[in-house]
Amino acid sequence: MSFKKKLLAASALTAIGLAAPALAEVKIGYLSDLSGGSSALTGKSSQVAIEMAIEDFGGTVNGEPIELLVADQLNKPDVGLGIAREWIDVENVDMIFSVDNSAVALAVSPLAAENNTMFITGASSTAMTNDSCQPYQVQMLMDTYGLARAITVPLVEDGLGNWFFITIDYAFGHDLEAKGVDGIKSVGGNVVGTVRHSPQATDFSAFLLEATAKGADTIGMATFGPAQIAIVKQAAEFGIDLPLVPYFMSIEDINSAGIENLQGVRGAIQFYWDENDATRAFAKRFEERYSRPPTFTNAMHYEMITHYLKAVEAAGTDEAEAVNAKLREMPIALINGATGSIRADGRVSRPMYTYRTKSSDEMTGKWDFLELTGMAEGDSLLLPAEESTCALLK
Amino acid sequence: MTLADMKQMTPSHPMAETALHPLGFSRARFILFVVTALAVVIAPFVLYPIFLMKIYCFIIFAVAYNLLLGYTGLMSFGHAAFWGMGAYLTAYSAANWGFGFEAALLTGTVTGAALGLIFGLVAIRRTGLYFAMITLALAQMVYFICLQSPFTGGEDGVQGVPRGSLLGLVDLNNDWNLYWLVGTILLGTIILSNRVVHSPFGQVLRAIRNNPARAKSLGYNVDRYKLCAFVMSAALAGFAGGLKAIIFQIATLTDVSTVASTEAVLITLVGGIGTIFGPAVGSIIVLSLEHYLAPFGPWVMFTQGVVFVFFVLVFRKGLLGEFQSYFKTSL
Repeated sequence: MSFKKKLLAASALTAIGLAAPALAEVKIGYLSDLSGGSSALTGKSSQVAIEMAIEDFGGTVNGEPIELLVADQLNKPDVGLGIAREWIDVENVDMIFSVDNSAVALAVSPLAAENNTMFITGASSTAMTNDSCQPYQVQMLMDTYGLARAITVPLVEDGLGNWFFITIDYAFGHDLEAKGVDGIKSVGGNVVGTVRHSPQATDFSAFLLEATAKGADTIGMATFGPAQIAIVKQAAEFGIDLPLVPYFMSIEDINSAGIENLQGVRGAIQFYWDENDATRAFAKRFEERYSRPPTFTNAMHYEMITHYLKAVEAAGTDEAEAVNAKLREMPIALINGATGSIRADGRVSRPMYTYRTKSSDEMTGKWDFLELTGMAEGDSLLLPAEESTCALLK
Repeated sequence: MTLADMKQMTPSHPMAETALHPLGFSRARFILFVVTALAVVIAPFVLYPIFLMKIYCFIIFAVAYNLLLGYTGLMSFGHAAFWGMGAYLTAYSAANWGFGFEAALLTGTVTGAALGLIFGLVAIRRTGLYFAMITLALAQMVYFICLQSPFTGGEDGVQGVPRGSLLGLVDLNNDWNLYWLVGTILLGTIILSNRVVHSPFGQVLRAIRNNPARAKSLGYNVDRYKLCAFVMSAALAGFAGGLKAIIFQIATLTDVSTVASTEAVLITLVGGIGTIFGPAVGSIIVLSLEHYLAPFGPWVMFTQGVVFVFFVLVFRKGLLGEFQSYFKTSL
């Protein structure tokens, strides 16, 4: 490079440096699955919930406008990482939100940490609060350990002793299966077999037949979305009446799979729209914007964005360190009136509600699928601090 | 066909003429090279440097592909295997074996070359469609191995790849340092590809492309030349994949999937098969479409399809190919 060119380059650099304005607005980058397997459960509908939260907050915080960026991660770590990097480098986002795919979230985590950007994730792999825990990172969705505690263990204690797992073949599925197996063994249950399916799989008949052949009395579905719906439907077609255990079952999934195929299913959920007056009021407002009541993920996105904005307001700045301190200090107000909190490793502690599915004649409306039967305290679902590998807990 | 006819068929000038110009370029190509170099210098002040580096990696990948398709006449559908495995091995050696930038990139390149040798030995026994199908089948096998073996991390990929430093002196975690390095590598690759194509070796490759039987009758071992070109192309593709893994600090299944192979074909077709600068033009067009249409989701695929059909129908020789035949020059 000649001296002249160097000079040109240097002056161009300065010009850009000067041109970049001191960005004051609070920017939230919503990175999610807008076209793949979890797009129905969260994706677009959670975007509606986020927009609702921002609107309810007044659209501004500390007198600054709140801006929402939205992108589709395509559930590919390279795509998600690329978008997150561009948001941090070019858009100066204050917080990266959701990334509800463990593979993508694990890739984004070190990048956000390196740039001191807040990262509130909807991924549920326990890695997020163990080896990949970061000071500015929060895991809002129940992790696989909590799911195993809330769903698997009570069923084993109720006498379902021989489990067969159908597991989606990537980090999240492996983790969910492993934690489920640990939970089953800890209370004396037995795992008769596991199979892995590719995220693109649509035919599960061979797996279901294998489960019956191996003498399973319960099928754990360590998967979600379309795969889970397909398993439920195909089990019904093959006349397999073993109890199916879902871990991420939203009302959207039940609607697609058909409630008649999900009779007698017991599980646990973070939020159900028909729990009390507060949730029903929220559901009504949500339904005006989106054609159905909110799923547990929609509600969680609303709650966490509200909590984040409150933290920004309390901190009086969008600067990560101050916001993070407030975020972890203040209780999280949940829609149903309960409260949640954030542990040092970023794990959100919030109650889960056990449910059973209603039969068609018990249903009073199109979306009236579940009957809540009890509650598991948030703290009882946390991985004990001494078992965690996160340095922030030590 | 006489030997003189054959010479006329090859689009570029003989060695004696090109040697007169700097860096071994012909006059027209030298002008284009200067334009490219200027673009590399100015672009990062206007556009996002990481996106530019991605384009540069794909240019190098397409240069590798073009060496085979454009100058040897071999249509491979399996280049994702070299690009993807190059990325995986570079990423893995940097993340898990503690290899530095140079050693990791070398690992990726050697992986590409070794895989190319295996593919080549099997595939060059056939030509045309059969050759393409064999390379596709082998690449699918590599994809399956990557999906199943633990070292690739399945759907997670190899994550958290350290960028390291150049010769232990220049910190590559700084995007600007990395950008200047990748830009320099890109320009170096273009010079290198021009050299290879216009070397006596390149002349033989083009002779094989135009008429393998005649090349054989002149005493050249056609299969060995093809294999050599195949391995060179695979090595360069592995190098490009490795470079991409370092820039994005991740290597995933996307890199070994057929999507990457298709990308190489599309870029080369759009830019101009058998032109030195075609891959550069093609990458800019194809990747810009992807990048700027990304917010529209599934429309990316649709638009790519339309672009592909458009170029095949209207610009049969690609953008630079049509350009050079219009102006009666070689680019």
